[in-house]
Amino acid sequence: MKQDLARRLDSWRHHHRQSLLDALGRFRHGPVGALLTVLVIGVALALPGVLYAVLVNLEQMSATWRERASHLSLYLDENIRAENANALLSQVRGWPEISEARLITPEQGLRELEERLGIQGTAASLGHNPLPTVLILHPSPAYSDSQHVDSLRERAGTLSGVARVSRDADWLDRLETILAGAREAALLISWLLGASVAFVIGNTVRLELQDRIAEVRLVQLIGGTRRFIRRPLLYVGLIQGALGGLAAGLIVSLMLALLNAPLVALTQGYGLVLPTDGLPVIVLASLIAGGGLLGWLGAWITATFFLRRLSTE
Amino acid sequence: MIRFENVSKRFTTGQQALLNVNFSLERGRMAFLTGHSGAGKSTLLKLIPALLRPTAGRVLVDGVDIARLPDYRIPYLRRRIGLIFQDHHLLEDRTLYDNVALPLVVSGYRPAEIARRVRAALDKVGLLDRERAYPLELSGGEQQRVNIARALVNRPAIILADEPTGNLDPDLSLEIMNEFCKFNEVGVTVLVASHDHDLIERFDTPRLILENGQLASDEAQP
Repeated sequence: MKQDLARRLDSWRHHHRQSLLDALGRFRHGPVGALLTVLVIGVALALPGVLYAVLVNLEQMSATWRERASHLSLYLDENIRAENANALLSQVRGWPEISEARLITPEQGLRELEERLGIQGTAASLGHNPLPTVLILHPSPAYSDSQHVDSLRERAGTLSGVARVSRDADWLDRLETILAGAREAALLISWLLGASVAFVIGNTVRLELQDRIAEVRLVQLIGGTRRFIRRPLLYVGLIQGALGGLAAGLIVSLMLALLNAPLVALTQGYGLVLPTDGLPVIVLASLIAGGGLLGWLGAWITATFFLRRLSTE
Repeated sequence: MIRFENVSKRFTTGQQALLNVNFSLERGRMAFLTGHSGAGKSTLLKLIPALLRPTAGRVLVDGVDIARLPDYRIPYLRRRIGLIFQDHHLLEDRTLYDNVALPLVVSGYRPAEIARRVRAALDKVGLLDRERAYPLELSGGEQQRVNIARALVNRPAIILADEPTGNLDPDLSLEIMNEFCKFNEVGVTVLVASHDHDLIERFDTPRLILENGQLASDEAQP
């Protein structure tokens, strides 16, 4: 019994190796067809790949930005006196949830703005300085989640002399809402194009089976199991799908490289820095694994139905 | 070994191929299945390895009702039956060696064991020196011998042959039939369908005669 199991395991391993060689042999016999299939899969997977890569990049950025942007800006009354502003500063410094607080006077604010925009003498041309005094609050790490920041914001709003409180992360919340929507859309598109990959491989496998119908019938006649006939085809699907995923990765890299320059120009205009690493490894890995899995699935479904129909003819 | 109980087979086209067939062929026995073409010989043979399912009655192989076999067990039934069918020839893109090896590959034998058995089977039909040849390089008689080698390479308990001498000249036909008798002598249960009366007359093997889907004679019954 034990020996029988060992023998069967051995022959199972042997057949897997044979099936893999058989699958590779089929590529050698019809390289053009195989290459075309791989390219079709590559193109189909490229769109979700690009979406995914952009999303991964944006999400990384959003996480970095959130780290930097958990602070609150307290815009003080327009004509508040300097000693009152300083009194407010020392008051909030006493709060336990604040790790750092600093005051930006209208003069400092104007200087910073002029530096950043590279222009000089704005105040002179305007006749007066339109900027308010701003108190910047950095919550300590333990209090920097959005719930604590919100209550901090509420509390700061009730201080006398504070005209308005703005949270710099508000736009990030909006970005993240948009990203969540985009992720849903990308997922949906991935499902559709993923199904098309399974269909493409399924069709390849069906043609392969039809091409070798005499052999398939003979193998069924002499006691070949459905699994035996299907196994090399599953390898064909797996390999073509994974190669298609790799092709998609190359296409996505190319597209990102082409999109990089305009994207950098656009984001710099908003004072943002876009990571420009190209294709994230996780995306490439997902494309290859996803392509392989879809290929395997497409091959399995087609072969199983084909053989079932054949044996009940 | 093979037992038919009130077996009928009607095709979806409405054609009644077999009607109420009863016979049994004990282990290690041999019989000829005769009758003119269209009498239902092929249909009867195809019921045994479950290539077709009866519409009524029971087909038992080694005591097992094959209608009760789940789909996944059928390949294992077929591995115990050597089939020599008219419409299942050799794969033309494979060598004789690979053709004969196929049943063993399918059953999961190791290459060393496969090599040993394939050479033994090719030797038995006198084609050992042609193992690298392709089927189209062979004569009709040689091809039929390769078919036989492939059917017996798995050392089946049962051999079923459908018109194995179909296109062969009388001398060759006789030679092939003698082969079947030799397998039977070593204990294999053999059922051979043939409409070649002149040939069959030369053997004193029991006969099952089919006429319009019904068994006219059951000389194979003990």
